[in-house]
Amino acid sequence: MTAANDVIAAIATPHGLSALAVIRLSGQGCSSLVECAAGLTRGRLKGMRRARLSFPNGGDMVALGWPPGKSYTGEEMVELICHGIPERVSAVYTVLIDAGARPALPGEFTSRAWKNGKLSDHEIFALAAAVETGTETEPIPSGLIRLQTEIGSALEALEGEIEFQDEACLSSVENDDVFLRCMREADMLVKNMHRIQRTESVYISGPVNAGKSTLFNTLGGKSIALVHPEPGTTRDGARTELRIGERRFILIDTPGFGGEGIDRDALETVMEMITEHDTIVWLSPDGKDAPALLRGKSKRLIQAVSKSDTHQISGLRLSSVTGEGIAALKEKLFLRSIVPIEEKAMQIAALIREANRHVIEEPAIAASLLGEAEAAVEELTGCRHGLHAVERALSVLCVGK
Amino acid sequence: MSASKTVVVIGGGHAGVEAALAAKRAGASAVLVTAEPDAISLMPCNPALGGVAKGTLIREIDALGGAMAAGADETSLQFRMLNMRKGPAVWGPRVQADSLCYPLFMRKMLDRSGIRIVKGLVVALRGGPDFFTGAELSDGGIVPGDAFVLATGTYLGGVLFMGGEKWPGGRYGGLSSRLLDSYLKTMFHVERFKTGTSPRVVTGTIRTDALEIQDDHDVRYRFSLDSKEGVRSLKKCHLARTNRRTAEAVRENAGRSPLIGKRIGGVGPRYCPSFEDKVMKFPERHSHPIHIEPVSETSRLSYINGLSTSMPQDVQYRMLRSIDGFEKAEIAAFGYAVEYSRLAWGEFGATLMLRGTDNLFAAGQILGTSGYEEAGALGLLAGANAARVALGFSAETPDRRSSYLGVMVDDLVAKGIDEPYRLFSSRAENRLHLRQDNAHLRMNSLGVKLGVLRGTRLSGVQRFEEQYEKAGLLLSEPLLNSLCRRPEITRECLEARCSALRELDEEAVQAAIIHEKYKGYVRRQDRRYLAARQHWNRPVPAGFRKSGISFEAVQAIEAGNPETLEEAFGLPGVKAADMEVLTIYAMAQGCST
Repeated sequence: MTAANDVIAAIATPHGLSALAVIRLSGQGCSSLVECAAGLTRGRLKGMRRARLSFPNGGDMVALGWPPGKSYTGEEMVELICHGIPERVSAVYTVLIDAGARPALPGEFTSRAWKNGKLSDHEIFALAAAVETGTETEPIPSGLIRLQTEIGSALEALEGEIEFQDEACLSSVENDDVFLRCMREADMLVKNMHRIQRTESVYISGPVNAGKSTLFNTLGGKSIALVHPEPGTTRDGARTELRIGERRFILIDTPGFGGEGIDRDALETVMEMITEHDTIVWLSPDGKDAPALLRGKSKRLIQAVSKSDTHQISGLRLSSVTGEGIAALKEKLFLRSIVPIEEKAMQIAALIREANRHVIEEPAIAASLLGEAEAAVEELTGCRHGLHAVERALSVLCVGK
Repeated sequence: MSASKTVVVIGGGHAGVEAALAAKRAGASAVLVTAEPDAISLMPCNPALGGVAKGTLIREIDALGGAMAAGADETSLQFRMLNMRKGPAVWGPRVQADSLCYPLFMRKMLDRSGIRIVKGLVVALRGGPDFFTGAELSDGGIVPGDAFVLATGTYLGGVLFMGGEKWPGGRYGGLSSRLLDSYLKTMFHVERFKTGTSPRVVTGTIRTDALEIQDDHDVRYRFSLDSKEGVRSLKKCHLARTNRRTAEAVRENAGRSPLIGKRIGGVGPRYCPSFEDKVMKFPERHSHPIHIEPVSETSRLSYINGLSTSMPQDVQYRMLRSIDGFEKAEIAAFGYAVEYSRLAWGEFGATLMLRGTDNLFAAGQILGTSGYEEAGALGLLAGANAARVALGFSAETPDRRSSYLGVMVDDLVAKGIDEPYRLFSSRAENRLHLRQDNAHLRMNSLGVKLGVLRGTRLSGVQRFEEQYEKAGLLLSEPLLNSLCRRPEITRECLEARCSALRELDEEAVQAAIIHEKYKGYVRRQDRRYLAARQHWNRPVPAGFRKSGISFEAVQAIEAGNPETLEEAFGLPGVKAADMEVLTIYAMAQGCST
């Protein structure tokens, strides 16, 4: 059983030899836990305090204490900074766990920070995305976030009007203003569509010697990948940037399937690289379908037939020699990436406009349409407001007869 | 006729009364056990029934054969249709009820239904831990039964607070069921909630000429299809405003408030805060509206709505007398706060049966709700289901898509709550469909399933349905149909164009017009709802830990290792809010931005 604010501990710096390492603790009572474990006088770490202390087998170190509300998690926190000798670090960590701290789960410090209002939903989403995919992910476009916020406030205002007209001591909610801002943001969103882009990964995959690296070089316009008629030349995934119109893609070459010996590893490598929201271009010279395993991995799979200059097999025919099908493939990639979001932005703008027409006489219809717009924006940002509109309204309105 | 099975209802408040009546209608005999038989159906807080969403809930109670609607019609002192200018989807019928006549009316209903009332304080249940056989009273007596409904309200472990004082009780001058609280704690996880009420003032000591008159709405309306006459407006209500001096009285005595001083641990409702809360949380506001509502036609007291407080008596006087018109006001009963026990999330299911039991149900504040209407509706469901289980039938659950009762039960059971729960219209995803005008049409099938709609009540609803369908047929004519959607067109306008409408029942015609008005939007919402559910067969996204769902849900998913979102939702610990977050997260990952 884990309480919401029990003491958790984690080694915050990467494993290995370093000058300094940080061990972090959070939760009610964590400073007294450290004080006990290190034999400090009680209360030494309470508040924003710094102390020198030492642990058996851990050597000397500095401890920093934060009071609740002032720390990253919003809870009582302690950071221990010691020399980054792995044995010492783990010795200190073990003492802390023995003293009653619980090893933190992945992301638990951040989740506590979010729960305690130290990080917003947006920040959490951006952080999660960045951690997940390294630094390649761009944060959610700020226009989209502003739109989400504005729709949220408009809904709050509407719900306040509907539920509490008789009892709230509001000085009349200025719906008009909120709606104008909402519409402005939606229009901006449509206009600035080209700025909204998250770099997409496109994996070129297929049997050995299907011409994957040749396609990679043709699309990328450079000779980065090592091309050789000998099957199985490509071992690691070479990558390059591909620009189609205003969209950016990361193009990745992968080792081929279907040879002998090493190719089991190749399949595993590819499967590990690809996530479900990546695009896969499946290339085969004989028109064979992609293996089921790969098809299950991503819903966005484009199947193409390579070396079309040498045969008559039908399908999306590609040839790096004649250039056949290259433009079609680019168009396919482009459309797949941009159409849904652009369409959605226009839908959102239309919904907000229609909602605005109903605000005065039929606020419930307006709220319904606005709710639909909110859901559409949430799908784009991937984060949902944890609280219901009426609950948000309650936190800003002084309500109650 | 003597029924062979007995439902024992513990508690005589709004939940208990509807529970006993529903159990009886569903075919069992019912016994209502209360420590205070003279306080049945009391209105210990404001003397009013209805409002936005709440008014619709009263209609739903009526559609299931309950008594609250008829009681509201019968004892009304003033009627207002809230949101009158904001479209019929959010109309909120509300009456000031005569709080002295209302309990008498309900007592009459109980007596007429042949419900036995037993005076006694229940201290424990006999039998258990899953099947219960009797309720044990403090005097050692046993009330045997085949199913039980706990409707304990604020009495369960109730503690009252006023200033520095603190004493056991479920309401001012009432007892506290402490032993039953300890007994239930041995089986269930129990948490504490808090609520409060305002002082009652001698009406003659208020200078009403200094106050604004709150106008009533002179419209024909009835909550119950059974009422011959609808609501009446007999009494005036007044509106006053607090000022800086009122707030000063609170601030200077903040240390003496059990709320500000944190002597009350229970969680109170945000939407119905005490005056202390308003002053401390909104310091920039110097004036708050106060509604002066008559307690009864025959009472000399007024309820001061908006001044809920648990300050010591001298501070309550100082606060009150600072208000214009109240310089010489005399307080007849002081405001106070009450803290009580309620069952934690997960301790009851959508039939309102308690976890791990076979014949124990609960309704009202013990489930975490606040409000007479919420209690009444839950009581009705719990009572009917208790009777069904006792008689060997299956218990039924209401549907979130077709009633506010369903929304409320689903919120309590699937979402979980962390403060006293009040129904809001926006809690319903398809609020355009859940209206007061069509409540009888929406609840019909649940009423029949529960077995609570019988005889004249059922035929009344069927007649209404028939008239409604006839009106719908007439309104399908294209020109009339398009007129229905225009906000300025009233029923009278349409009747002038189509005299056949005049032959039909007024309320049924009105309901048919409103249906045409919202039909398109309701369909649109339905499609959205279905589309959202369709995502539930998606796999649980790999990054679910980072999606922003609760830590509890992360642990549940890690332990249960579900494949699809739908399977994840079946896990204990994954609430509806987590599901929404997770679905959005999964959709964003699948979408090509």
